Amino acid sequence: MPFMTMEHADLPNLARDLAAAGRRLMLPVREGAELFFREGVDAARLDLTAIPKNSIKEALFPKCDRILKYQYEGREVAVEDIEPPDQPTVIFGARPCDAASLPIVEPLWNWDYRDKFFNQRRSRTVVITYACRQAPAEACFCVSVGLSPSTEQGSDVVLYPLDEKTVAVNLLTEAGKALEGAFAKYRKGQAEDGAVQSFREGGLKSLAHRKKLDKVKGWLDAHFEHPFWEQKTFQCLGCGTCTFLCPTCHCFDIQDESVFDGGTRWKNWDGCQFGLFTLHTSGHNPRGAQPQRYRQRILHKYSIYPDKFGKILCTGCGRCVAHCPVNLSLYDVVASVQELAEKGE
Amino acid sequence: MENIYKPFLARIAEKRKETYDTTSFKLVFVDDGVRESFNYRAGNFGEYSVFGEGESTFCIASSPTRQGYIECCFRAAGRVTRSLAEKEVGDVIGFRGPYGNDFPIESFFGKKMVFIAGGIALPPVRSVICNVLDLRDKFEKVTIVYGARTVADLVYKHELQEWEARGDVDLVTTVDPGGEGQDWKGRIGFVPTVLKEVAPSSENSVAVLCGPPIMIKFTLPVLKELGFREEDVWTTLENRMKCGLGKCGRCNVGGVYVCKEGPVFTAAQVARMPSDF
Repeated sequence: MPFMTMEHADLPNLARDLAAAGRRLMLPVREGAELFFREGVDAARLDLTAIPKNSIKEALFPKCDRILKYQYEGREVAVEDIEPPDQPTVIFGARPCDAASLPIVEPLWNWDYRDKFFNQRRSRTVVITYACRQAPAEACFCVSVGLSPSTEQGSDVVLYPLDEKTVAVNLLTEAGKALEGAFAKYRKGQAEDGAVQSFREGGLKSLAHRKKLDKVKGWLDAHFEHPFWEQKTFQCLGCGTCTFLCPTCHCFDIQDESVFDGGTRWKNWDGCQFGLFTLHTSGHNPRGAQPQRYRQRILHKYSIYPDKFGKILCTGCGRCVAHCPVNLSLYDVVASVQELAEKGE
Repeated sequence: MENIYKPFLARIAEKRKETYDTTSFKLVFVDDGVRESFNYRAGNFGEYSVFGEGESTFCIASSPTRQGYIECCFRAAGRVTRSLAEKEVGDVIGFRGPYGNDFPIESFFGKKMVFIAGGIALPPVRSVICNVLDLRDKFEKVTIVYGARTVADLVYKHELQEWEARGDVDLVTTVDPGGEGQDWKGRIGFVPTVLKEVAPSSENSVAVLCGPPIMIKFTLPVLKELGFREEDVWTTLENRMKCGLGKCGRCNVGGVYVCKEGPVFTAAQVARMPSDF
């Protein structure tokens, strides 16, 4: 089935139309040398030239999220529920690796207990993904975790920038198809399946050098104790940058903030790389040393989560690789595990 | 959609200073409906909150055989527990739960019960003890070995006296050498050593063991020596938690989430876990 096409130059106009219809809009904009996904900015600033530093997760799982309010009246306490925002949201220009993170983390937020703060936002969010003609960053490794630069997973609409000027549009889901009218305004022509197919192949080709990680889980399951962990990950500072930039990391803390007799309970991003994360009251820490915490992160992503939910908790977006202050590449770590497994070590 | 992070309100009906740093509460849910419908099992835990300070994780120390209230016991150690300890009878706190798995009490029917606890780890065991004592005729011999560093560190002293007075409970209390006072009538020695002296029969027996990691480490070999199978030794793991719901990411031991798959495990299950606790 052919895809409708539109001009690349019309993408900011389309984004503005979508926001004008009362939707919350998140899109990548340039701030200094980096791109960031931001809300409440002028759609004219849409910048799709690189992979943004932050992921789209904060649209559904904000850094700091109010979960309830409390008010003391003498010895009594009144607790007030908080409803997450109800406003329809469009994430415009997500990369396939970001969109793919949403169905990966969904089962976690619904594991027996349903987190309404994630779910309500998720149900109101439409993801318009900008597929990658070429891997947009040196750090990209989506192909290693079973995805691709034009993966449709988690997207409602996928845009294929066939060349500098032309974008093919793939309305995938019901929520995506509901935007057909907005897209129709900018229709220019149509692209044949073959054009999109060769776009997809070109993207895959740009990551042909990346390893398959098919033996990683098996090795991890058998080598909880191994000198590899200390040797390979000792340089980790425990700064947590990787966890905050990761589209799939979802660990959080719960904290209260009071003003006089009342206040707010917050759910805040936290990270497994911090020593305090697991510190017991007694002073005992199950993961007291940094290599143990690094191992936890790798195990969680490549073994524990796949066992629990059948999905690798990583989309190969490469942010943790590109922004690690000591150049400890997660890809390098898991690729080394793959090599150890291949060598039978 | 329901807010899974919203606690029930519970009023402190009784407060007891168990030791110089440990407090226990009897809590009654403020809402009539919650009070009537609230159900739990021995081993379940909860998130206790002081609004304005945060939440803290510990077990429900009472037995589900006693309805209408729950009890808890905690050491004032961090921000939440210190301010919790300052709360008085009539004050309102928050409680989320019950969470986690539980002790399969029914599968212990007809067996001898051996309870071993150290220090502040008596509360989770106490829930099972009270459950067993409330159904006393369903069990054979009941032995309790409880130790603490010093006499001052023993919690639930009033209850220890009650258990002592019962003819159908064999209670052995002990304190670490040097921790005895002038009037101490119990034993002096570390829990593993005393357990070895008491030597409860492993025949048709179940052991419930809770305590600091070092005590667990030295008690497990004694239980093995006494003939207990790992499948008949039960314990609870007490990892740091925030949500208690399997989401916040910190309580896992390898692939096991203590909040959802625990906190109650057999020694056989613990032995299969990676050394991540």
